[in-house]
Amino acid sequence: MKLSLTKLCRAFGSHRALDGLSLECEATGSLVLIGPSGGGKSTLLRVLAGLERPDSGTVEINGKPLVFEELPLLQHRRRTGVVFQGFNLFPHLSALENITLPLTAVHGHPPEKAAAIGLDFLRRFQLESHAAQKPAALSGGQRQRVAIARALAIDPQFLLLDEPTSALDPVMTAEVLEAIEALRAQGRDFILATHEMGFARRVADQIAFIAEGRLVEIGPPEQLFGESAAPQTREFLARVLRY
Amino acid sequence: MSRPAASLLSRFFFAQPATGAASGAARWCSAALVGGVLVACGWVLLRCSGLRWDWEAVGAYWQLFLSGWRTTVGVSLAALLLSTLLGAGLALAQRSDFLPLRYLAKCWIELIRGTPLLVQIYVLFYIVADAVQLENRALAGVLILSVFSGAYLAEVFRAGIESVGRSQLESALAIGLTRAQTYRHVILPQALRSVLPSLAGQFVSLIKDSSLLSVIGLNEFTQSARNVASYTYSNFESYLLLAVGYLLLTLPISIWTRRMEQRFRYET
Ligand SMILES: Nc1ncnc2c1ncn2[C@@H]1O[C@H](COP(=O)(O)OP(=O)(O)OP(=O)(O)O)[C@@H](O)[C@H]1O
Ligand SMILES: [Mg+2]
Repeated sequence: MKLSLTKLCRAFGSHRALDGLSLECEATGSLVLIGPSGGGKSTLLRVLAGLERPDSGTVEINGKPLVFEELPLLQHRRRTGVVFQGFNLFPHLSALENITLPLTAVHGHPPEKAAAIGLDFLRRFQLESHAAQKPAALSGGQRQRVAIARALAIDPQFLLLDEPTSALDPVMTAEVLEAIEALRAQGRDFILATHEMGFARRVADQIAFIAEGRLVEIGPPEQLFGESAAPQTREFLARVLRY
Repeated sequence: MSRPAASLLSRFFFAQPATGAASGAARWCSAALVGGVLVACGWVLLRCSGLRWDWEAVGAYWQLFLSGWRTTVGVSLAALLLSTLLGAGLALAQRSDFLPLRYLAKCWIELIRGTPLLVQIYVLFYIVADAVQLENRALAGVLILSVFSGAYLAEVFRAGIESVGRSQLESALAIGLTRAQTYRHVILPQALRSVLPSLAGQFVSLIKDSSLLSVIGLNEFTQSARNVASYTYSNFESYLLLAVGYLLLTLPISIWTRRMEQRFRYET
């Protein structure tokens, strides 16, 4: 995945969530966003998902500019897999139906084929015995894995994950992190925002440190977690790694 | 209380405290108890009031009752369908991006909900229907009731649509559903579940409100009962029949919507 962002701005009232953020990264499988709370990670992911329009700036993904108009955005969303913290599954649909809905309604698969794909993905995440259950009957970790399966089933160009484990206890967190590591092993491209530094380090090809709506630094994990990191990055890491 | 008596009581008259589920025996016994008490009370009250039954006089007019009841059923059913369509249309219009449409829907809803049905019937029948030369009273009645009930249903539907959380709409957007698909696959199924109780209430009201159409000379059920009562001086018998006739229509609606609620049940 190749990503090129120039001078992205997005303000909410007088507060600039993205304040001229520019970022270049070539041929990266997994990009992990870290940084202080309120720094703009979620806003950036929402822009990349086609859910938020920037006030100014450009986004280029794999060499193609993202056009912030209704139709191209719809096309973009259909090719992007999204797993966000507040994004629930649909409570009135079973785990399997949650996965097949985008396949049938958006991607035009016939129901039998959609069900076969859905079951296949549930199996990969050890969830096939829960196929008929509604989200309320699943644990938090199972729900999040169904959400990942739903995002993967459409065969997206890449996956966006925003703190996929923030609402989970340690055991469930481990389940979900394993699922994400498996994605990396399969060569899936994804962009992930997280506060789990150990995990960021393990799973990232590149890490971007984002604060106050701007990119402070981007590089491989060894660079950001090493001695040559920018002072702001080192200060942040020192603070979060103390605990 | 002694132990066996308590266990007997709980066996025949109580639901499980935790789940709310009840055995068949408990349900039948309890229903029989309530039914028995109600019938006994009614009987005692009637005896004390010294009322004399006279079903023969009323019975002679059964055809009048039946034709009135049929009119009420026909008008109510037609208005039920039409007002559901109107209500859905108004609810969507209120959410439209096209402002004139939105304001029109709001005006309609506020005007109708803020004025008595009786006034609306007079205005719509003697002015509007007259102006467009609509003379069929039953048809006029259906239209008037639909205009009235549609405004209430619009608010029921709007509340239902708004009960679907923002994150659900965003999820729908994120997986690439269009607006129409979002309504069909995400909003409608979730909204339906939350509006069912109010929907049932509104349908029941609509059926009872149809009795006001007698003021435009429509011979519906209430008007027939009133007529029979004045011919026979058997007020009580006529109105008792009237009550039973309405219950025959409204109870199935309540029962049906409860069934549907069960079917749509899922936890959030
Ligand atoms: N819809 C919105 N309306 C108003 N303000 C918003 C909105 N979305 C984000 N913000 C603000 O923009 C800033 C950046 O938020 P964002 O969620 O992108 O940060 P973040 O890096 O994801 O933080 P966290 O690590 O806590 O998730 C915050 O100050 C937030 O309050
Ligand atoms: Mg965030």
